[in-house]
Amino acid sequence: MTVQRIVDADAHPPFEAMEIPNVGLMTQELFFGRMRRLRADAVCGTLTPPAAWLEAPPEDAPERLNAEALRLAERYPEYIPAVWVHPACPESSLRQMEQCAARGVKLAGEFCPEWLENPFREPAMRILALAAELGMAVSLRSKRPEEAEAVADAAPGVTLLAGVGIAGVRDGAALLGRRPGMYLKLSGTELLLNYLLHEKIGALPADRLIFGTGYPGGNPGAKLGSLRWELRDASADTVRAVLGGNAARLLMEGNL
Amino acid sequence: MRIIDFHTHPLYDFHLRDTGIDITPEIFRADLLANGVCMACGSVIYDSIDVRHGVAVEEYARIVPELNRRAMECRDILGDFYVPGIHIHPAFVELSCKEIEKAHARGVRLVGELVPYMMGWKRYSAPETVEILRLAAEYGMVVSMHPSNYEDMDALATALPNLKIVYAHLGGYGGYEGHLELMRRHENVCFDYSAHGSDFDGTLRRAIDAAGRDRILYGTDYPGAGPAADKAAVLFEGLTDAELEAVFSLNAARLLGL
Repeated sequence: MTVQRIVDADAHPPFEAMEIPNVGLMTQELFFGRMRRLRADAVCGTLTPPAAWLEAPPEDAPERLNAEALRLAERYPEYIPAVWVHPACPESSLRQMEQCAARGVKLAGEFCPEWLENPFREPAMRILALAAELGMAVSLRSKRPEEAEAVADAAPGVTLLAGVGIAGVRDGAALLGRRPGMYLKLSGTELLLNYLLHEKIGALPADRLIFGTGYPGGNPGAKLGSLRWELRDASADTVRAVLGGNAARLLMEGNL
Repeated sequence: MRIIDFHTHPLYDFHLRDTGIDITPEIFRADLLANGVCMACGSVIYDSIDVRHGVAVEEYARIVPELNRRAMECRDILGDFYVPGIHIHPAFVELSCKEIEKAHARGVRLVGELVPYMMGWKRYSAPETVEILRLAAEYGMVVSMHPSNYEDMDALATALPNLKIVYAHLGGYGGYEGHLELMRRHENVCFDYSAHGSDFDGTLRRAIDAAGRDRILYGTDYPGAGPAADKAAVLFEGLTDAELEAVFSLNAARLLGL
């Protein structure tokens, strides 16, 4: 029997307990309980910061978030931390990238394409340049191909995990042909559109598709169930790669 | 476990351009069967009937009977697997009442999913709509409706307390709190889970805690959405076996007399 290892490469444990609609208070324990209910073998992503930090993080936000991520990885062996960065705190972000890379962390995020505009462009470019130097992949908070391609244009040497939505999957073969450093992060509505992946999977490079849920946003069961269904006629190798093999190779080898 | 998909649309072709796949009745049945569904309910819709493509409201006097005729054709093809739902239109009260009578005589017990946003009308609580749906209530039919707004849905449920109403898309269109409140206020109101129930973790658990396990019906909106996501989402919610059985089949079977 083929073992299908499931890696959720877009999951974000809470930095501190946070209110989630319909669920109530989402603690770290509850988060990992839900991921176990999903039967995810590994969970990778930055911590979810307090909402206010997305717009205006304190200068020490990267230190605090990433220290907690590393602690959490010791408590939950299935957690593969990613380093949280923000151009509003550039020096702290860059320092954290170096320190986390030394600990084996392979991913930085969640990089917003709009950071390429002022006032964040200069520090955002420094983050991308350091990622290239460290060989660290960057997870994009993008929803459309053009957003992802703008970041790829700005940092051609960086490996990007890009959300590209329905249009990006529909035209994914051409997109990935143009962008050899890009992986498609399948964690949004593109997973749910009937027959989209089923029809496109044969044309897409299966070694550059990565599954994620975006949890604690959404219902991760729906996303995994839908992906499995869309891959029903794909080869066992493709299914294994998309569900977890690609993420394991890219983000976990040599990690904590 | 038996699964009845309360919310489907045979012949739906809205994603044809994205996927190139024409969902024939045979594909419709095969995909749902493969996901454990033993029976699928709902109305026929397709892209070219959409008012947003410039269809004039007068045209629905022709389109409504045509959609209903095609639903019956689908039943001929799919047999007991498909429970047809018919359309009505408040701009054509007499015609709509005749469609209800005709369908009821042929054993149809479901009206909808009604899709006013697609057919150029808005209010369920408008006098014309209430007049048509009063007839559906007299026949004991179930009405499946795309959600409008809280006040309108509340007004209809108040005006026709004997009408068995299933509003679609629990939690969708920003309406979750209102949807829970409607079920608390009206014993004749249920919701189906399709397409938006799975938008968030915990939607179903909280709805059952608020309104009881007898008020939510499983649905997918297939082929508008894939047939697997909602089932996996329901199973992810950590329900008891009794709750799962109610949502997956018992509630729809009870309402429709299946």
